Amino acid sequence: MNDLYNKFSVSLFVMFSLLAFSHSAQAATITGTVKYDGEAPKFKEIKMDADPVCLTHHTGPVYPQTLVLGDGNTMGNVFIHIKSGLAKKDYPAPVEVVVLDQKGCEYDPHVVGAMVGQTVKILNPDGTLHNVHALSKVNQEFNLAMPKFRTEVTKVFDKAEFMFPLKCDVHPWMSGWLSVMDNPFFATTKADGRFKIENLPAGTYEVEAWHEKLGTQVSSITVSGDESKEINFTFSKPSK
Amino acid sequence: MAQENPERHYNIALLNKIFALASLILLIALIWIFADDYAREWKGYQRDFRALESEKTQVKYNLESNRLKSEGQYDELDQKIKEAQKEAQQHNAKIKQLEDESAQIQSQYDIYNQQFQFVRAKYDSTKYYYEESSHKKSADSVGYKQKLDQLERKLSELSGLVEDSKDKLTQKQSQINDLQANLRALQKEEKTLTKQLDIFQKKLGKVDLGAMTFANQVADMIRDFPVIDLANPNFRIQQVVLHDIKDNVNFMQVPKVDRCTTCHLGISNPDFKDAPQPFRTHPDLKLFVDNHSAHPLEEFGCTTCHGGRGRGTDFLSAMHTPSSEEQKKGWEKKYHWHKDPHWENPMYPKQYVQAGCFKCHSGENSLRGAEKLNLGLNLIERAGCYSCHTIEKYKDWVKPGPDLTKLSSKISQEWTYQWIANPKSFRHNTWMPSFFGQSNNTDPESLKRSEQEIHAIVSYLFAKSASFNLETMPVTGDAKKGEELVASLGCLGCHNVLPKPTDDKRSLQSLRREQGPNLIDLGTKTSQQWLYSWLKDPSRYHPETKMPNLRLSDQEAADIATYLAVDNSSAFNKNSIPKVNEAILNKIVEEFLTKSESVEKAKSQSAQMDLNKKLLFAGEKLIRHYGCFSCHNIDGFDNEKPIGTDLTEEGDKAAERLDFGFVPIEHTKEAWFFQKLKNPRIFDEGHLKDPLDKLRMPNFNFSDDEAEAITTALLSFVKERPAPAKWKPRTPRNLSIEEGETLIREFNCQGCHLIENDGGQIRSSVTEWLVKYQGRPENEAQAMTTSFSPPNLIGEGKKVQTKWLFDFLHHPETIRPWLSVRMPTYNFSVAELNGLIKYFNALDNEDFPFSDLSNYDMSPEEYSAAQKLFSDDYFGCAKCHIVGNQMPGGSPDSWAPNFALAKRRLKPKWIIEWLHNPQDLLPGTKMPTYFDPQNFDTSGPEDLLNGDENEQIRALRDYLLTISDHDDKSTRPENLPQQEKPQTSADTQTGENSTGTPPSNTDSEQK
Repeated sequence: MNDLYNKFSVSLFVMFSLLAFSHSAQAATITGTVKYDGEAPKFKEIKMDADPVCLTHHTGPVYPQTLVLGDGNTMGNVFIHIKSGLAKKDYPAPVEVVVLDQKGCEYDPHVVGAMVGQTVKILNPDGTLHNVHALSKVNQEFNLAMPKFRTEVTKVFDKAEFMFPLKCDVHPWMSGWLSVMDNPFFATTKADGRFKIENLPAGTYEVEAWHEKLGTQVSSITVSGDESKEINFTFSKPSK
Repeated sequence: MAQENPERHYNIALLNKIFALASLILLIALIWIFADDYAREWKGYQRDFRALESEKTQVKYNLESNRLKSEGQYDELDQKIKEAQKEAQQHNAKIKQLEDESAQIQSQYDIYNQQFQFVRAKYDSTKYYYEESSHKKSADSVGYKQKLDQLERKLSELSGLVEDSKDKLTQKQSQINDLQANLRALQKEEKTLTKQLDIFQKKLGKVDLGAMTFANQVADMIRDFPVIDLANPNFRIQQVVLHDIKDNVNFMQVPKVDRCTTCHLGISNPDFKDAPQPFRTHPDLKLFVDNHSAHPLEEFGCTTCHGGRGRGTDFLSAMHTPSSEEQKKGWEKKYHWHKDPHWENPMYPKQYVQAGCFKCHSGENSLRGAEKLNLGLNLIERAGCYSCHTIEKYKDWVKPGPDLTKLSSKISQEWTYQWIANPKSFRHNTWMPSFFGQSNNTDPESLKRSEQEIHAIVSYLFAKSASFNLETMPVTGDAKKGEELVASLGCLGCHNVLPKPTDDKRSLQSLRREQGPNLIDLGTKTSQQWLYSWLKDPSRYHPETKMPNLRLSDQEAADIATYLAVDNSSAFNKNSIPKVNEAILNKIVEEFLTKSESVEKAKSQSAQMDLNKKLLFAGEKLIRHYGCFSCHNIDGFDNEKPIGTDLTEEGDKAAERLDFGFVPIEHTKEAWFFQKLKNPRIFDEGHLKDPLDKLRMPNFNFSDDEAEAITTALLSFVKERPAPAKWKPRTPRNLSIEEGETLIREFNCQGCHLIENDGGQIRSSVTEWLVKYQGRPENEAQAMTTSFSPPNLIGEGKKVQTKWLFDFLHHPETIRPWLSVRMPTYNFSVAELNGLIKYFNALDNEDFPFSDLSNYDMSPEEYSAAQKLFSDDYFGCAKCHIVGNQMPGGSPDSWAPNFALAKRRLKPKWIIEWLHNPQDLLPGTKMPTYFDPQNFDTSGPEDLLNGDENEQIRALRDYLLTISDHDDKSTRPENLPQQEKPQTSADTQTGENSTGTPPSNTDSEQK
């Protein structure tokens, strides 16, 4: 029953996306949905008592953002990117700024991608001390304090580096993931599990879906011209 | 008729023939001598190398030219040059005309110039005459004056003409240049582009016949002809002469001359790293050979480290040594290799080459890059080789085995019997070696004898054992809690808990967790009470033990003792023990007695003893015979000499002085050492020996790798050392570091701490503890491990005050209350404490002793600004740091050290550096950077102290130095009454308010 519903929702989404994006000529588009198969594990509630400022931003209990599920077990915080098949060339960094918010002592988005050379703006609207500790290995590791008076910090990464953790040493529960990419073909799913990668040149690609706990899944796809194709991924609970 | 010639007594014709023949033979011999002298083995190598070099250069040349072509830049330029040339051709007529014109002007100029010079000469002479005549007031002077004026006019006229034509000439020249400028610039650009290519081409011209002119080809060939080759041949012996490193040639010291590079031609050239031998590049140019390395070829030569005969110029005379049986066979075939007994120090086989390092580095304990040697030295330390064999380096080290003077309180006789019989059957990785059940004492008779020997030893040990008051546990222990305590307190920095052997090879790192015994099956061995007493104060049972005191509470000690004693899984105690056999015992007793008495007397003396006396008598003799006292304190053996061979200069021992018995191995010392370590008794094979004459070195069951590492270390123990100029400089700093490293090794500091970027072996167990007892997922636990591990001691000398460090090492205090691991109390002597402190200061190039007379007084404005910076409105320092007895909120993994310690503990200069950029001092620290180094000038708040970041840092530092740990609530700096400001500051005050601490983090010392 559930399955049927899923299929229905996916095809509906695909139809919709086909309609919506058929006009984008010259380049292909990949869309899809990521789902979670099985029973969602129970997560321990995050106790934010340590910093009353954090508490004030939340009314209900707060849970880790590790597994965010939408209706029909769609999965958020999955990072989709082209693993291989892209021509080696310098893609210009977009002018748009990637915003990483720390509102309510949580990283928003929890998983985020930025391009080499793209500006990443880190916000601290909480009025409490945060520190952004990037545990990067290729890029210079940094650990910047963001006291109350510093509500905004910008960073530009100069080397491509796939997925390194971000943490806040003041609020140990805070954890995020950042990926510095050398191409613009990536996306992060929201709770609805949907993603879209646009303007892809014709070719055969390996598309990878990455999740911080559940690992990666790879799927191969060939696109030509301005067609739109669909890939779906399903993660399941690790057998432990 | 010749024979009838009476004037000659010999046949001249025959003589002529003999002469002819002799001279022919002489000629042939001469040619042969020449040829033989000329055809040297190394010339062949040099010829091959030249071919190889030419080939490589050609490849490089092609690569470079292809690169130039493929990049298009070169072609583009080439095209441009052609165009420019074409363009220049169009201007040819113009240029020609210009050139003609300038030639004309040039000739004009020359004429004018000549005339000018002539006139000037005339002018000068006229001037002389005029001056002369006017001085004499002669009448001629008027005429001269007229002439002079006339000449002067002419001169100025001519000089105008000269300058004029010169200007014209320059003008024309620049016109020509302008027309050619484009071409010239392009040609210059081409030259820069092809610079590399030109270098290769030049090189090819030197080594490749094909690339030479005919004349050069001929010259190149003739250079190497016999006789002519004394001038400047291509093929010649290459050598380094080292005046300050001597070779000992039969009572004479001669400078070392290394000719190895005659054949090893590519040794310093990275291009030859895959070339066949002897041309291959040295595998580590960063450390050796290269001029920029620590050991340049010109200063150290080759045989200084490798051994061998540096003057040798062929394979055999250079004393190469094969590194394996297979290589030996190959060499025998190829070079007719054979062992040459006439040179005492042949080359080290490849696997033992690190033995050469120790000649100059014998003071150091960890030699970076010489991992095998390090491992060997470490194994010698752990196995305690130095206790039976004197090794100068280890003369002050304590005995490696436990104290046996009170053992009846700890273990039973039965257990002891089994243990001595086969220690590995109880603890698979024990360092206690096996004396019995070895290849020279497993025949049926020896086995029976061994049983009685062990009985005698056990009887002696227990008869001599003093009593020891076991403490009774005041509380009941909880094994579960004990297990967690073992996992969390830090026991696992020195101990393992490994019930079964693993396949992991021993390494420098893994040995750190073998500092103490593997904690298995202790319930089989001893009692809860003994464990409790031991844990409470290890030095009470064994005054020299390396086990530190963990300052355990009664409950903690009871929990751990209970946990450790629970494990009594082995059937060790259930084995039956053979009975005492008096007949065999008699034999043993008599054997010892006959060493000093006649057989008759010995028999009668033995008959007078009762069984117990015999056991004691034999026990004492056997303990002396096997040298048990070398590793253990045993009553009655206080000042005994070690029983083994002195190993201080073992590397110098000639192979002839070693007994190879009938063992079919190569007769070299390295082969002997290796064999001895693998099976210490093997050289008894085939010999008929009395029991007391048999080899008695016990078996440590070393693996091949371990035996090889120890052999490397043994080979390195040599007397001869190069001149001190070649050693690592004996500066006070280096000496302090060496001394400190020895202490660090002895007390196993790196089991817990990262020091000089090595160590912290406990960390894996901290991760396990986080997973198992704190319920953290694996990756989270990994990320948190640093926060819960003993601190990284990088930069400790720079960071903490000497006095504080001294006190801390003597009596550790709590710095990080959230840590479960606990810095134990060591019984350091004052000398050891000073050694450690000097070491940390030397590492960071800090002055020792530290003194600071600066004044940290603050003005009221500064004070209030610093207070604000400190507060949650700005930096929020107290969000993580403990302030006096005020704990920060949240979970302990985000906490940071107490500011109240800062004044006593931290060096004020360090606090400044730390606040500037903590990541610089301790990469990966949790302490965030407040002053972004990339935008330092705008990183601090603008509204405090004029937005001057340096002032803010200084004020914050001075403020931290005022924080005290004495008063309670008012410790929160915000609450400090304003009046206190003037006093709060400085150093000189020992008052209540004069303690403080700045932010520091996961780094230095531990809890």
